[in-house]
Amino acid sequence: MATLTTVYQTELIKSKNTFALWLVVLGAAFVPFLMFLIYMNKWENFLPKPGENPWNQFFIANWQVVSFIFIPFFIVLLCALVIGIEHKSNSWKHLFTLPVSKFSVYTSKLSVVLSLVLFCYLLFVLFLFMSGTLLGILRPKLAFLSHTPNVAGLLQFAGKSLVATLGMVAVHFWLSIRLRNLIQSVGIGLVCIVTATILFQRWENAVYFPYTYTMYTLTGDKESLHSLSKHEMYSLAYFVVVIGLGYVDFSRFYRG
Amino acid sequence: MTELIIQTDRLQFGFRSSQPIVKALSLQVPKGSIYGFLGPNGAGKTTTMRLLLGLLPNPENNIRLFGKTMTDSRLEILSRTGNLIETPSLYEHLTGWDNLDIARRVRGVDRKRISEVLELVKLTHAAKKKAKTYSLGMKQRLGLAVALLSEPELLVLDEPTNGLDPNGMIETRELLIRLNRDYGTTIFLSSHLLAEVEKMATHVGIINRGELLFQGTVQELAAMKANQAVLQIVTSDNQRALEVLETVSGIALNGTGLKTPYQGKEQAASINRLLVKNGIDVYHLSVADNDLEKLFLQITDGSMEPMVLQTT
Repeated sequence: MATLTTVYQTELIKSKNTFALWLVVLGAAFVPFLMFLIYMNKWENFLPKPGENPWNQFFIANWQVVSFIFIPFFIVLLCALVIGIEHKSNSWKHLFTLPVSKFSVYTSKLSVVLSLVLFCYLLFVLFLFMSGTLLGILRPKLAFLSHTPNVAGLLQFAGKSLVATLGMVAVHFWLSIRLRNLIQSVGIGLVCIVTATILFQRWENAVYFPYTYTMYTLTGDKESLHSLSKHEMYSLAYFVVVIGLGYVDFSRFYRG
Repeated sequence: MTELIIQTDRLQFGFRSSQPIVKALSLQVPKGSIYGFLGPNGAGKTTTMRLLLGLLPNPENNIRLFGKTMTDSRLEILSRTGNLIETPSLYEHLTGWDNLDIARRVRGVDRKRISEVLELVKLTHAAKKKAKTYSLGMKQRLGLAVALLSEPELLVLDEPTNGLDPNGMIETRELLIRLNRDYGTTIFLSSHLLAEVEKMATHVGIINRGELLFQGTVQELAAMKANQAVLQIVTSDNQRALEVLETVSGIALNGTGLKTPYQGKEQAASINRLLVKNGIDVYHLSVADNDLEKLFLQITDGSMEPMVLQTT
């Protein structure tokens, strides 16, 4: 019988040549690249005050752009694309007649989605550094090279943001399995994202809606950087519960 | 009694209980057989195959593969079985080789087996091409290659020659016969073409509207065909001939002549003699040999009594 690692490897092979993989790379590069262009052309607007670290401002500007619609939409699309590989190939029936438990299938698929999300975050952080360093070389007055970026702070923030996506990952992982048509799960995702932007900061109950969590992480106070905030705990709770329910549905009722 | 690889006990299935797709199906597929599962489109063949492989729920748990049930031994059954259900499940964005690589890793089969099965289905030249560039026949063959990877003891194949050209059909048939002969692989394959099944099957099951109408060896099917042969007689006076022949069992008027179940050459001769002796001219006397195709149609359109022979 195949081990979980083997099944996970085959899942990675399946993502070869897919748009899902490109989405991760392009998605991570898109905003740092745009911000790079803006800083290059409008550099006078971004000159740091004496003694100020330009990296901080640059990081915040980037996170502000991605946290609202970009990351939630990335999650929605990524889940739909990764799961969509099986729908498109009509291969659930094939998977279910391989000598491998449904638990392994479910877990390894979920692991692939989570790996890709993590990979995207890491790439994003990497592109931020590259973009800032390049700006420092090309526009010395921006003073990127004379300051050290707060790496620990950046990674902590990225970690919190990543946890904030987990609720959405769980919901869309399940939806994408259940809805054969990619348009349906993406459509539902879009409606929820729009709803989230409307509810956020207008109604305190928005904190129970997983699609708002990356926005909450962005606007959270600085003291909370070292620990998980309330909404991130909720995100984890959503993840555990929805992934669990999704597994019961998948193993008992899902026939492909 | 030979070991049964597939055995179902009055298998029942329907998405709605008012409309059963499969009714009281008791399949018996002996080890080492090539079992042709015959029936017109929509008869319930694919549904039965999905049930066998655990792709549809079977709460009665009355399916046994290798003598075991899915609830107890799902992974063992699946690891000993290769299948091709409906359209082959291929990842079209990957090469033929990658497609095989995925299944082979999960099945724990050695890497060199990939080139072996590619050779078997004659796809070695296309191994590095993406599956989406394959023709329908090549996809079907790649699907078959995936099914063959683990050298399974049982192959469950749904219309394996679908979409193949005549040449491909012959090659696939020969491949299956070879697997059966050389490795003793039990093959359960569905088809709606009797002629196709006749050429390779050792056993036949005929299903229509979810019901098994015949099950037995090809010899038994042939015997049944012989039983169905009819002697046709055309005479100068059919009405009087009927009176003369009233002692012959099953004699009846039939269009322009008479007919009776065929019971051998002697019967034909004695009927002829009797008619001539009574001054009736015999214009035509022949055995209408029901071919299997006709028999199949008769069985499936309900004009013939269901006749389930049990393999013993």
